[in-house]
Amino acid sequence: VSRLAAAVIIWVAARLVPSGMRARWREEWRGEMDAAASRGRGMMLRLAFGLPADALACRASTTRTRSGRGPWQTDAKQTLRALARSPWHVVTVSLCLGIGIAVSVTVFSILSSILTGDLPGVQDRGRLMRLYLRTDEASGPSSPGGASVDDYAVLKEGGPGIPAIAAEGRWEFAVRTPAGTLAVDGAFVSGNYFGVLGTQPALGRLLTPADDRAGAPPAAVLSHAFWTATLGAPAGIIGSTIVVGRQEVLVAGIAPEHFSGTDVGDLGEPPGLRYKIYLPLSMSPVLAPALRADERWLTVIGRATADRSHDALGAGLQPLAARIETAHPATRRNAGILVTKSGMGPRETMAVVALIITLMMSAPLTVLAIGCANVANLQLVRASLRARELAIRLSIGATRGQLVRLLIFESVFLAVLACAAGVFGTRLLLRLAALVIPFHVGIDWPVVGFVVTISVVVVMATGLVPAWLATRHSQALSLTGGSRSTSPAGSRVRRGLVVAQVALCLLLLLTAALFTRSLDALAGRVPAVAHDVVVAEVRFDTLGYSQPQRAAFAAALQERLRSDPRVQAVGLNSIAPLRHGERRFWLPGDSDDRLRAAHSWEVTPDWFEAAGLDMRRGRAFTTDEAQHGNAAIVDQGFIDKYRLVEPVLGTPLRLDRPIPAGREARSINDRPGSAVRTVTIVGVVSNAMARPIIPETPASLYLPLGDVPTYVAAYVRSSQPRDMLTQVRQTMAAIDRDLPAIGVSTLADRYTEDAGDIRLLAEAAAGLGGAALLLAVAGVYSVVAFFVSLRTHEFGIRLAIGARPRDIIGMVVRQASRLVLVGLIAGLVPGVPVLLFLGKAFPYASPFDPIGLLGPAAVLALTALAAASLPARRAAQVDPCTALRSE
Amino acid sequence: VPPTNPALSYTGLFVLQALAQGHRFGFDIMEVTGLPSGTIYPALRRLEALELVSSDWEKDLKARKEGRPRRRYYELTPAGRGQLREAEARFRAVGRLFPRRSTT
Repeated sequence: VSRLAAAVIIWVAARLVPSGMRARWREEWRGEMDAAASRGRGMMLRLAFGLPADALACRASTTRTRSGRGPWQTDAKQTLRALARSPWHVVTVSLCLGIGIAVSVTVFSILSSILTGDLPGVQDRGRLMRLYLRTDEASGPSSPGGASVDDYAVLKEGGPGIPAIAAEGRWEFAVRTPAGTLAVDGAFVSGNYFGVLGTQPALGRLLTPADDRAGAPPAAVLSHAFWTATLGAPAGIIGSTIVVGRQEVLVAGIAPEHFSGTDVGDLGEPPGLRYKIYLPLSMSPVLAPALRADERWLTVIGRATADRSHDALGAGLQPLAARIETAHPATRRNAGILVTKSGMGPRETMAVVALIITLMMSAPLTVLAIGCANVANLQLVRASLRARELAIRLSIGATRGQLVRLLIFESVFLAVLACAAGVFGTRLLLRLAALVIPFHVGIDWPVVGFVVTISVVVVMATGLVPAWLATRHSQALSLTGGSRSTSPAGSRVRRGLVVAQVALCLLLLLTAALFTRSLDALAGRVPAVAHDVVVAEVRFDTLGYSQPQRAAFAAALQERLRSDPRVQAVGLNSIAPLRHGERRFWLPGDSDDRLRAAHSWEVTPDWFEAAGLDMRRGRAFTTDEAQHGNAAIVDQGFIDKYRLVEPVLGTPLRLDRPIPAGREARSINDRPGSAVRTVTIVGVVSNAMARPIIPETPASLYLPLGDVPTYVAAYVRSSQPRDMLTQVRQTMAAIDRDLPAIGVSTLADRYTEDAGDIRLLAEAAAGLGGAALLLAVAGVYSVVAFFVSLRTHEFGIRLAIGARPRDIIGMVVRQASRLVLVGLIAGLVPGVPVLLFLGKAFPYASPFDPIGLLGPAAVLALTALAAASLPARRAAQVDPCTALRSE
Repeated sequence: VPPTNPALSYTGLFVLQALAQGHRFGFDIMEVTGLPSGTIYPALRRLEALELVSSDWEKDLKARKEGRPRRRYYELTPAGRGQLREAEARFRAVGRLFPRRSTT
């Protein structure tokens, strides 16, 4: 068996030998093995250990020049040997600095990408400007905002220093794909848009001003992600046609990968997916007929060609603003243009941005500082441990220069390792960040340079301490045992640092535990009936449906679904699931200035049954009430909140006009011209659970859905909800194959998804807690190791007069546990108010649950003590003879 | 006599000494010096590269007679012998490190 093993080892190691020498090499080793075999199996195994080393030597002999090793190679070899003797030192130093570097670089890279970083596919972002239109409303100056199509027609002429001005407007398109018609996020863009951004196509061509002219053949540009992920990257896509909102559109080209316009998007979106399709602005009247001409939905951007201040650029555009005001004096009163850098909002100044950066960077820089402090501690321990070795080197003739060179070598090696760990950690963190950050984040190399410089300085400065120590003392002193004292102030700082690290770590772990338990609690807060309800959203404006078309579609959909025997009820709601509208109203006897507000929905009569709400009293809406809109249904929460007096049924409510809806809410429920009207309460339903993360029961007001709005959510209650998911999609496609079914899922799934924000918080807190745990453990290790190194002499005496190794370990660990205990208490002092506050903000799980409190503390204490036991074991292995030799 | 080679380590010296005492192949040197194979073999390669040692393969016939693969025998070159003499003058103890091989 051992012969076979030897043959296998020879065969494997021979792969390392250059092929020219391999046959002879193998023959030689077989011969040697044979000789060893005659002396027994142990010899053979011992011999086998040398195989890889010899194979590497053979390999090196062919690559290395014959001149032998220079002094640098000797230093390199000695460095590796010295560091290999203390692997824990190497690991802890790289870990501490690596974490600090990775966290700082990641956070700063994300910040700088948002503010000034290059956007994928956009040239020279520094000169790209965002233009805001500022006007006065009746109540005073409005917040600066976007432009309408008419406004942009004036603005695109440009001004001094900013000749080219482009616009983009977000829209949702119905795009026919092999997988059915999808609702796809995209943008209408001006013809010069890609030119202003300096974007180059990945395939084909991008849109040009010729495409944006009235009467031009319809053309579109697809995003790289849409082309590859959704369409499956078909070859020959350029020049083919796709159907967008029933229009045949020519695919002109593919935008570069990760390109997402000038918008960095929202958290939680994957990068480069914000816009999937770009169409010329001139097509907006055809594809989006519901848009009003004065609606301010366009984002305006321009490219500055001269180095002028933002104010000067804005002033240069003032003649255009005056023309905009002349064209629409009523709605564009006192118009002006506000110019800011792309990536900054209208109100942000450099001071605000600097403050934000400072605040956001303080946490990662603290992590880096803690890491550096730990490293300094560790390096000092090593310095005191090596004083004797270096003194020996000096006494047998090494020059001071040689010692310094050796230590520089070690420090550089450690620094390089730490930076490698940092870069690896950064890549890992950025990959994790890419899951929630919707834009491409590149590593910010200047910051890497800055952070790495700090780390290298720390490592070098502390790494050279031994050279200083070794030459400062007399060599005899170093040889006989060196200095054994440290200043008490220094050790207080060290202890304080560890206590702070343990405290901070406990705080983070407690927070993570609370969030995790909240998440579990939320997962259990889904109402049972929600599993039987399937929801599907319909956006009629993707196809520009008129009111009669919407009504016909809604009627057909409800009728077809109701005829299915598996369906118990079908209803429509004007608001997306788990969202709510708001309605202001007066109760009988309220004065005019006493406005109340409730969450409100507009629903069809059958919606209550479809959504699983019980009619407690009264009745649902009648068809007549649905047409006249003169009835209302409230829930128990409404009665409790507003203390309605019996009889509730028949109580009249005076409704205010709908709250003016912004562009986002346009599809929800906005019927211009509604006036104050009076409705009568005709029924009371059970409380519906709002979002799982909102613990209070809201006061809900249900109004009849009259005309079908441009957006509806269909609720289908069925005993076989899984089957209904496809059934609903098929039914919608059968009525109009071009109208996309959006978000078809069970209501229960919507509730679970809604807890996603907390999941993100829990994961972030757990990640930070994990990093803090590593740092705290490294801190405990470094400080305990330092004290152990100072007390080597004492341990030697103790062992010599009869202490058992066990006693020494106990002593060291007890000392460490005092530190950890103080840290835990110091963590609980701010921890209690923090938990109380978080418990208020996330009241789903008790913040003072025994497991949630003791678990993190126990984990922290156990890992910290495990870290302390490493140097403690070293203390117990002190050889009394060595320790006492100095006497 | 060539000048002292600065790259000659203690291991190299041991190996030269062992060869001079008549321990002629790798396994034998490993046994007598007590150094592990991972030290001896790379050292042999290095000495050979410095031309202090030369190697030769034993005759096929002899190995076949003993029913084993061939061995590679090492020998000191004149340069190696000179190097060893010089080192022995500096480190007298090296000559007494291990016994002369009884059979060759």
